Amino acid sequence: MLNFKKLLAVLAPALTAAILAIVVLYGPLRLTAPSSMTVQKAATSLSPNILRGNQIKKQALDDGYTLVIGSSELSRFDNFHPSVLTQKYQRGYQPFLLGSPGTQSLTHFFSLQALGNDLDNKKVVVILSPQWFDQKGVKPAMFDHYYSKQQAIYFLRHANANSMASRYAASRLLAMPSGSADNNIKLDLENIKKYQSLSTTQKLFLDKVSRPNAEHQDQLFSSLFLPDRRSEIVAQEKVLPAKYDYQKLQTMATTLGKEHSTNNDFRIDDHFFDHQLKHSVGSLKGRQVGKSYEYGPEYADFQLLLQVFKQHNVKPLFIIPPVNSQWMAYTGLRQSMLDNFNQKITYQLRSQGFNQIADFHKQGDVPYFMEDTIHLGWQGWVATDRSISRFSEQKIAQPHYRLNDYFYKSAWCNRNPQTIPTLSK
Amino acid sequence: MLNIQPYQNPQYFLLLLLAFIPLVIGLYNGHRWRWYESLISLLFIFLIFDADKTIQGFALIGYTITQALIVKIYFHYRTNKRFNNNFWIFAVAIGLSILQLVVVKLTPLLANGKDSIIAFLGISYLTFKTVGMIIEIRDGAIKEFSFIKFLQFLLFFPTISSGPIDRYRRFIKDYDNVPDQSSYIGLIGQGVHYIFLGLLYKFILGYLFGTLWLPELEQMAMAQRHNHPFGISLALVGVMYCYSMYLFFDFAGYSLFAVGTSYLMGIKTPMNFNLPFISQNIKDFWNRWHMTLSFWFRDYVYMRFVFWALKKKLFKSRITIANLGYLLLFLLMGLWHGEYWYYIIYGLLHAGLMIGNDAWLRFKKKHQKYLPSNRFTKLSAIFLTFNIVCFSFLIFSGFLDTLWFK
Repeated sequence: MLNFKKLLAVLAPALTAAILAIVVLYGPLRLTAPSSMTVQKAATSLSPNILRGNQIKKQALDDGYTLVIGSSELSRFDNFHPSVLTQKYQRGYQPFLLGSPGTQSLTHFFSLQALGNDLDNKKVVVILSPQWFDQKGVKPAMFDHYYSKQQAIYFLRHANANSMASRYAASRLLAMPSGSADNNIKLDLENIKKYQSLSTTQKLFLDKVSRPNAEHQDQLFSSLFLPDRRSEIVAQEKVLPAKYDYQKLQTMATTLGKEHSTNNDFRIDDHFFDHQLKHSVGSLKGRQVGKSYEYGPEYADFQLLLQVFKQHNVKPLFIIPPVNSQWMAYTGLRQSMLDNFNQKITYQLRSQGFNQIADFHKQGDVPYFMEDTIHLGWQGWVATDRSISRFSEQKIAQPHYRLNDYFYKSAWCNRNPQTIPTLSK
Repeated sequence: MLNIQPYQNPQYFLLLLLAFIPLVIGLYNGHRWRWYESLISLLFIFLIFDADKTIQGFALIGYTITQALIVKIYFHYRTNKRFNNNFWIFAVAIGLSILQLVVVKLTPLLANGKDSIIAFLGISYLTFKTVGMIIEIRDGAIKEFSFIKFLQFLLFFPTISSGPIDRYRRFIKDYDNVPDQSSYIGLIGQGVHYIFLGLLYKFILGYLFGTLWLPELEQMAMAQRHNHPFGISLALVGVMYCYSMYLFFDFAGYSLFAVGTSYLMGIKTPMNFNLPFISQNIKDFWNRWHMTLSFWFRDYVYMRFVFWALKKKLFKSRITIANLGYLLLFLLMGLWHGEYWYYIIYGLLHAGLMIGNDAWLRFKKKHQKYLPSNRFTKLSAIFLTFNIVCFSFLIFSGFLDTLWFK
């Protein structure tokens, strides 16, 4: 009997831990929705956890935020960043930033599709960097960094083996290390890729085991350790004029841009130049002569995003930023190539009924449009914010999207933009 | 089909918990239900090698049959009085037993990084076990052989994929016995403690270092590589320490799971790590780091070589022989990790460190009077050893290959 008591004493903590783990991971518990405070913090946190998670984004949509989908430019919080301008002027739209260095179409596709019906009829903004369309497509390490098992599970539960979009998405995920990291997910993806629907067992496992586990982890952990940029944003808005005035803001953007770019000939922010370019600037001369954003898998990945928009009747505004012209001249990047990129992506959008496009791709020579080499800043942000703000106020007619599976094919990815017709607006 | 790699996720531990209930009740009441142990072993091995790993499963079955035959035949040879102990027969037995491993290790080199179809998870660790057995059979230390026990030892599921590497005689002693009730409760307590420590190591600390921080640091080091000679930036130093911590917590966590699980089965699988980062010199380090592997190399490679070289009078100086032994041991260990330049450099570096360490210890012994030894010198020794070890892990990580050549 003494031994039995000892045994219990030894096992009790382990059993308690096991039971707690089971209850927390698989139990029928619903944790409370994130507070509006958390959502506010998350809106400008740019944290990968927000991208990977689900519930905070859902809450943000509920609270009336506009999702602003982009990549590294979102972290350029100067005085004219959309988050700063909305904080100051409260014009009815409130951006919820989604994107960090290396987030591209595929990451955003998985992140958005997992929002499901919460996306229905929403307006969203997509800042479509030409740099996403590098010939090799998204770097697997980058994709993996933002990969979310929860979103992959959502995708599998709703995937349709008869749809080209599902099969294409499955094959792209399988091409990434993270897609094959979990054996069950890998096997499910392989089924979809091979036109096979999931078996009842596979579905049951996804629904009853994988899903609650991933959702509970999201509910428990996503809102932890969020970087808080709110005071930084409040500090940036202080210098702005009391009332919104586009011309005044433009003048101010030029003045501030001039003040902050004094140590180089590219109108690049001093801090950025010191930390990112000073050492390597010599070796970068002429480096981008052969660079092209005209071909590659990103075009098909981007189609996945459009498919989500169609599925949920989303009304997106696409913003196409330019590249700093002086930097282009120095590194040998051709404006004609950017024009081709623009031609191709615009065709993909317009031919399928996506007509809200703010095309800045020719504005790389507007002084202080870019904060550095490829990132919007000062003037660029003022213009971007105006587009978003107008788009938010505008009543957008019920869209009629006509999607074409052709855009998933390599024939499209490899198509020479010069063979593509220009569509009238 | 459900496929679960060992200690991979909470589901594995829950499954383990369920499977162990009858086993623990049995052992607690003084019964070792060997058929039940075999059953759950087979189940867990099946779960590792099913679904898309089926080919590996077949490779494992083929491997197990050949190894059993090799060991059985060699055992017959050695215990039959008509034969004497011929070295070449022994060498052939060893050669046959490592053949599959050698093929598996060389295939990626010769076939552009592709894995051999006869490869399977854990082949190295199983080969260490059988080679150890053959050597001990030659020594006459193993006096009995049964297929069943051999299979139990070779395919002991808690350690099948990554060790620790147990020894046949030690294992069989535990396997043939049932611990008495109060010492079994002690074993359960220790086992549970090890498993929970393993959870902390692998899933919390290993995750922090390996999944959260390491990729960021690597990315930073890659971004800055053109700004610094040889890409040596502060971020690279970060990569070095972060990778070292990750390597330790991930592997030590894994080993703790294996040891803890064994303890619940009443088998005292040896520990693999013993606070390696407080080592005072490199020899001390190898007595604390991946111990079952380093002891295996020490007993079966280094010692054998040194005795043989002394007997054959290969060199006059014992020191030269010992140093050659280190070179052999660490080059072999490096090559075993994989046929890449950085593993070979890693091996050479550690051989050099061991040789230097021996020389320093001889020097210290001679000049003991003049050399201080106090808390400060000890702490400096630990600090120095730690940093050298971390540097060697940076080489081992292969990150320099990416940084410089990719």
